[in-house]
Amino acid sequence: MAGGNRGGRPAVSAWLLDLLSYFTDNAVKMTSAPNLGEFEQLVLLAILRLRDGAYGVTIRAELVDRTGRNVAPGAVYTALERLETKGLITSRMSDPTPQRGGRAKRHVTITATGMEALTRSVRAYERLLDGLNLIRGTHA
Amino acid sequence: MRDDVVERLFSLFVPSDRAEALAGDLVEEREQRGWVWYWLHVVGLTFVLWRNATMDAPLRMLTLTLTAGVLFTAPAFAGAAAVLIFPLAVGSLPSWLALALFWWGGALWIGASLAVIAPRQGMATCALVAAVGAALLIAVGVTVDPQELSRPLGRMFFVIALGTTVALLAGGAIARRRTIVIAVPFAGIIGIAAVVVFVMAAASSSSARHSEWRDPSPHAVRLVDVDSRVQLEVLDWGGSGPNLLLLAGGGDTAHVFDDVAPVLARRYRVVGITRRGHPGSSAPATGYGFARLADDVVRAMEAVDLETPVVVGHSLAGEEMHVLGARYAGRIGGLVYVDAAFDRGDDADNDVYDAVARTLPEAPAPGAEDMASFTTLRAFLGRVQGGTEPEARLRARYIENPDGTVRRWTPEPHVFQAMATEMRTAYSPYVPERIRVPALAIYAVPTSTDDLMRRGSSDRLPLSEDAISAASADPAVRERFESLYRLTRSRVQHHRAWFEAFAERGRVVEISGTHDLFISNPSAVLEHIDAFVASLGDGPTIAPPRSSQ
Repeated sequence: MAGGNRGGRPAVSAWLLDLLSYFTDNAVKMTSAPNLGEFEQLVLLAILRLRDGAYGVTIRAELVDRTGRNVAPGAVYTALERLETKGLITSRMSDPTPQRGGRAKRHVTITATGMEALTRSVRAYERLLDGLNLIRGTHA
Repeated sequence: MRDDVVERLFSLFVPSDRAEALAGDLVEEREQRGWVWYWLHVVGLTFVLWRNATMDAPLRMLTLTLTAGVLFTAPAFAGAAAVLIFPLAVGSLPSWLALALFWWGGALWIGASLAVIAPRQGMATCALVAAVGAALLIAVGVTVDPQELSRPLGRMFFVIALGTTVALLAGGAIARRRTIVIAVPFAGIIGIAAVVVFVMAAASSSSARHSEWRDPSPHAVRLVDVDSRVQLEVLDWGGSGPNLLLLAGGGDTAHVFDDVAPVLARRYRVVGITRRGHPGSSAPATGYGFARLADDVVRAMEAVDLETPVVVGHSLAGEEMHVLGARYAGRIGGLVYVDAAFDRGDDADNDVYDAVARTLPEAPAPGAEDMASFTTLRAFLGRVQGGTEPEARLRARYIENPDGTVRRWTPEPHVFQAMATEMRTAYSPYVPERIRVPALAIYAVPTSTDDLMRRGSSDRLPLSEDAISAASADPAVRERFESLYRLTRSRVQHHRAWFEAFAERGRVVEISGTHDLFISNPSAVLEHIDAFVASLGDGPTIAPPRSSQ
């Protein structure tokens, strides 16, 4: 809940946080896990779905398939860079394949902080959606 | 590291493993989506990588850009100075090399420096500055006046500046130990754009009315020294036969003979000289006295090995010719005065003549539309003068303004002053030394009143048909023209008599035409020259000087 006292919260008072929120686009974070942008959330979800096989090509394919959006490789790459900078995912280079002209793949996996950020985002949606009848006639 | 352009391109902006993964992703999808998709996304991704580098640290990009600007001032200035110090060498190979050395070397160094200072933002800055710079240059190249671009200086700076953008990229790429192949497609695009710009400039320049004009008359142009720091333009039309030396009138250059000289060159060796103070020759502050001008002529003759020529001079050249005939009689074969032998000391009849002339219609002067270009001016003069003058003469008497219109050439004020002073001194009293060589004086004189109106005289241009009809219809005007004709005749009579006394072996001929007889009556003048030269026989002989005036 707003104002909840969780571990890792910076020791500032409520009014200061309110003031700071005017200077950032997002609501000022209450925990160490950062807020997620909309596309970043989609990418994290795609990574979760892909489990061990999440890298540039598969993530893009999954997003295109599931969201119907025309996602460019550049957008995926940019999001992955931001997520890694924020510590929400880690990457490792895997074996090169002949398909890729002998180049390695950059596999990504979600971190604990990433999971935390993602679940918080999803919960926020759920709470806001509670009571709204936004989606009718589709799978729950 | 696989030898791949795309991977190397990406690695300019991101670490090598990222670059490898990205390139690999694109290659993997290429199998499904094709090569067009592939290259499209190579370009798109490069732009995204550049954009990320910029947005992640915009202030750093800004400072790097400013740094690049500051660093470039030194080589930019050095290069420009190296070229402009030698204005005459502008456009030559050494000046190209000098400018390229400073500017491209400077850009390479700056590109490398930026990439070393800030690996990611450095390269992004190079790309930004190069792209913006190239775009600006091409925009300038397309919008600027084509004439500027076709001049050696403009062309050189434009091309080298374009190359500088490539050098900047190359510098950034080299510093990160990537190959210069990155710059090649960029260079290709810039090269094609430059070629397109130049082709456009050349095409519009050649079709524009103020394009480069080449003198078509077949003469060799030389500059010869005739005095300390004075050089004269000498036109040599070659040819074989007796030597002819052509001297132009006041305000004219030797190019006035551009059309008749090639005809003369079939029978003579023909050389023309442009007097000091006129376009093509030096314009010193002094030396405009007729004795000095005659000295100039003799020195020029020596410089081109022209021995004992027959000197043919027009208008004011007559005064120099008097000196040549008097003091250099052994060095010249004869003199032909083309409307040039006048008793300049006697202007008693001028007032009467002027009083009548003032009341009569004159040939029109060129209007603004005639002065719009050399072409229109030439057409106008052709209509009005009854003959086309050589374009080279026009281009010496008139100067082209930057917008293509033309204006009359005048000598510099101090030169004009000097000329006027010398003339005043020489004309009062007018007692030129008598010449001692055979001489022919041709005068422009009409044979009747109609002739005066139709073909002009030494002082008048011909009138148009309409003006003649109008004049003839009005009895008062007609009567004044007849009066003018009589005055013209009596003036010429006076000058003839004066000349026959002045030149012991002088003959006189009259041609009905304008003062510029070479232009109004070229064949008649040439015939008389031929007859005169033929009459000289075995060579010039010097008449014994008379003991009294």
